[in-house]
Amino acid sequence: MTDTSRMETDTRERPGTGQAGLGAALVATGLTKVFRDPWTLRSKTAVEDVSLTVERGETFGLLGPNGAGKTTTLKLLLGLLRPTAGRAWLLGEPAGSPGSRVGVGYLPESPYFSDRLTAREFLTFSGQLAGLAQGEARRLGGHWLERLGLAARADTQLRKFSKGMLQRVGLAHALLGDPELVFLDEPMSGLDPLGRREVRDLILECQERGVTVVFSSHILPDVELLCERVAVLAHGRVARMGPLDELLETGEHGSEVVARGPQPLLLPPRLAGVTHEVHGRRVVLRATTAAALGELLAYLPGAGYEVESVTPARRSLESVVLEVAAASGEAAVAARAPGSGRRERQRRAG
Amino acid sequence: MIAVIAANTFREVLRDRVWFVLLGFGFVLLAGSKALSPIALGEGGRLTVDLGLSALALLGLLVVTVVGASLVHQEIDRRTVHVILARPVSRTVYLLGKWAGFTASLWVSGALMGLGLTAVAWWVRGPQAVLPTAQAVVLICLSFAVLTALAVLFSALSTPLLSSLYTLSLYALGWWTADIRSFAKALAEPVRSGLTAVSYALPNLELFSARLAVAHAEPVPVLQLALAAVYAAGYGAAVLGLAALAFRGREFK
Repeated sequence: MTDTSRMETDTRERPGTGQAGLGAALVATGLTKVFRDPWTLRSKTAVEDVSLTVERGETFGLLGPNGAGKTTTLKLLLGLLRPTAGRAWLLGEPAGSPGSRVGVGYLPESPYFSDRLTAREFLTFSGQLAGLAQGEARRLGGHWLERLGLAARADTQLRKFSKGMLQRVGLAHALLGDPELVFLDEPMSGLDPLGRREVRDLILECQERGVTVVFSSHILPDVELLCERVAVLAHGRVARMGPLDELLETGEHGSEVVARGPQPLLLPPRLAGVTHEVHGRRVVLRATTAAALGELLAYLPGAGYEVESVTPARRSLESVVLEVAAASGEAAVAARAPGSGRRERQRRAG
Repeated sequence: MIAVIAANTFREVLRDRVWFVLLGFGFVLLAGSKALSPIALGEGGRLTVDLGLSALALLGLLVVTVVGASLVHQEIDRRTVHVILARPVSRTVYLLGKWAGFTASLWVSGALMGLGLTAVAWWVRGPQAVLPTAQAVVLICLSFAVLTALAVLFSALSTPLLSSLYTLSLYALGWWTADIRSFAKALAEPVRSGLTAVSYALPNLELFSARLAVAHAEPVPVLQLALAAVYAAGYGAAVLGLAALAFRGREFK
């Protein structure tokens, strides 16, 4: 059986009915996509062994540098591409089948629509494809155009729309008909700050309504604000995945201590790794390790300082993504390097 | 869902500028056929109707090769297909909708031109020419259904230029299927069987011709009309089935 037929017909192990991933909005296991050039026969692995579970009502971010495999992953989930290996389910239905896309909205990256249609005609068509009756699709399309500030251009052909306006029409298309699961590929792309804010508000509204949102974005502050969990992809693989708080949590990256006491603060040599900034009577100290934090907290009361707060210093999401990109870049370079093969391994072993 | 996609395709095709250019061209040919009638030495009425029917068939062929050949490919190329196939729509339904909408747009145009041509036939040849002309228009419209199915097949698999070439080639060969079979009889096996099989795989467009009936201003036999309708449905379904099969494995990067 080919991958194609497997994706379209295999309904034996539905995650919605089994133990693992019970009720999950999205489950992907070992999703892999290898593109083969029919002329040169060269193959390129775009996505490799991606496994994800997104619970219903969750907002999940897919991050990573360009070419990391985010869009390919979304297309595999929506059946626009066929996986070379692995399986996925959307709302309990095997991905790739038309049934898996019932209740699913999708905003493609840089969306293109038939430019001979008006915005209203396109949204009516889109709503009908989602299963709405023509009148209802037209009414809801009008509602979304109004909501996104395009009511005045509702009967203008889409070829006369700017990139930002097309992006808004794409959002209306994705959210039309109250989907349970929404995929947004770079939803902030092409939008001005006001438009970005509107998109953020829309995603927050989706969260309130319990809609599952999976979105990819390069605008990391928005991801930090909106997502509960993220996966960082690099070279087609999931390099990091987990709750945002965990990914950004200090661990080995230190803590921030705010204390009030006499100035100037003189730290003993054993706390040489601790940095500090003075803000009036307050001092903000940063300890980079758990051991240094322990020693600092033991020292401060004795030196006449009252500790007001201890908070784990959070890394920015940007630093996490950059770290992953750098690490994967090094790994890729190492894999391509002449000494990375058998001889190098022998040298290390020897 | 097929009707939804068909209605949208119908609207989109009718808004294509190329469509208007070709439709204008068709009406010019129709008018030109009347203008040429005085040089036909008493056969002016027949020549007018003949040329009008040829103009209608040519218009259909031009629309199929220019608009139809890029019908699906253009949607893939511009990625507009992504927003459709990301909805609960199967690829087969998508192709059937595209075919139905495109065919309907050709039928509507064919009916409009056919009405004009039938009126002209009445004017130049009398009431006895109305029925054969109208029947000939119906047959031409049925042949459009076969040609659009071929255009959808090639458009789903190839570039617009190649699709046009394939469709035109099959159109040309489609008028010679009987000749190909006669020619095959003179050859040795297994070439004879092979060529005969190929001739049956080609669209038999001769079935959609009402040249004799129109020439004699006699009604087209009902059997020919029924056979043409059944053939158009069967051949069209087979080609669309092939297109659906091939389109199933298509990837949208």
